[in-house]
Amino acid sequence: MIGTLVDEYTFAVEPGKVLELARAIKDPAARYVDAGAAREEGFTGVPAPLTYTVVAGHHRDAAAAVELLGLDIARVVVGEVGWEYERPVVVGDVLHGRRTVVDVKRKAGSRGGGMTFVTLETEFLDAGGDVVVRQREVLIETGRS
Amino acid sequence: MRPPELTVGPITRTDIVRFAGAGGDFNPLHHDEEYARAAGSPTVFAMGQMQAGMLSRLATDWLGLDAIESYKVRFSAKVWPGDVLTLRVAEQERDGDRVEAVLEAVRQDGEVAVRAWVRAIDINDR
Repeated sequence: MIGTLVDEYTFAVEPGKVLELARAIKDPAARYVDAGAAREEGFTGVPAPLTYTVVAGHHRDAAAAVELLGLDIARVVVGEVGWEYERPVVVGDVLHGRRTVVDVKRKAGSRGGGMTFVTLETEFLDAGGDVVVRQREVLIETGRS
Repeated sequence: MRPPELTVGPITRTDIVRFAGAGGDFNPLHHDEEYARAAGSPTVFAMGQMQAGMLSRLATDWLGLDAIESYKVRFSAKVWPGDVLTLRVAEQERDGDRVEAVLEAVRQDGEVAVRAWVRAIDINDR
């Protein structure tokens, strides 16, 4: 399963989406809504909050991805998510995300119901083909109860 | 360089719906009361990414958005409507202009809802 392509999509980083996410995480910083404030802080444009790539949820089909991985969606939880940044994501970026399986581990359970840990990595590339951010998520399929 | 401490909440169902719209997570467990109860949950609960995002503000307020090299979260307890979260720095290690820190969002009952590991560089000018 390692190396399997889970999904890929392209989306533009839009000012309205950055504002919505900043509001939704209750971050009132001016840099997320005001290009002047962003420039004063040294950004080339309005930057996006650290977890901005969650908006890819609008471009993904979570149920289809879980089915492709052979997991039971009723027993899947996200245990961990991490981001590594090459540079801040800024409004105007057009990002291409490509999500693949990078690790699969199974743990035997005490009552016969083992747990499966699937690590997915998404590389978000800008229009020039450079990596902007790498996102890793660990999906956990819990044992049957 | 004194790390900030922030409080958010009480979290409302509207907060959860707002995050669903922002992030595109329309799993009904997070907004549909009847569905959540049928699935065995007492009520709807927030998606972990909501509190992960709230906790990220602590990192950017403290260290600066452009100084952060990596941010990783692990979810450990659910956040329910009515919960109040305290966002704080649990551990920090500074080496020159680099910082590695553990942040946590703690519910009013003392349970850690989400823990984050953050690494930042070039923070000397802050």
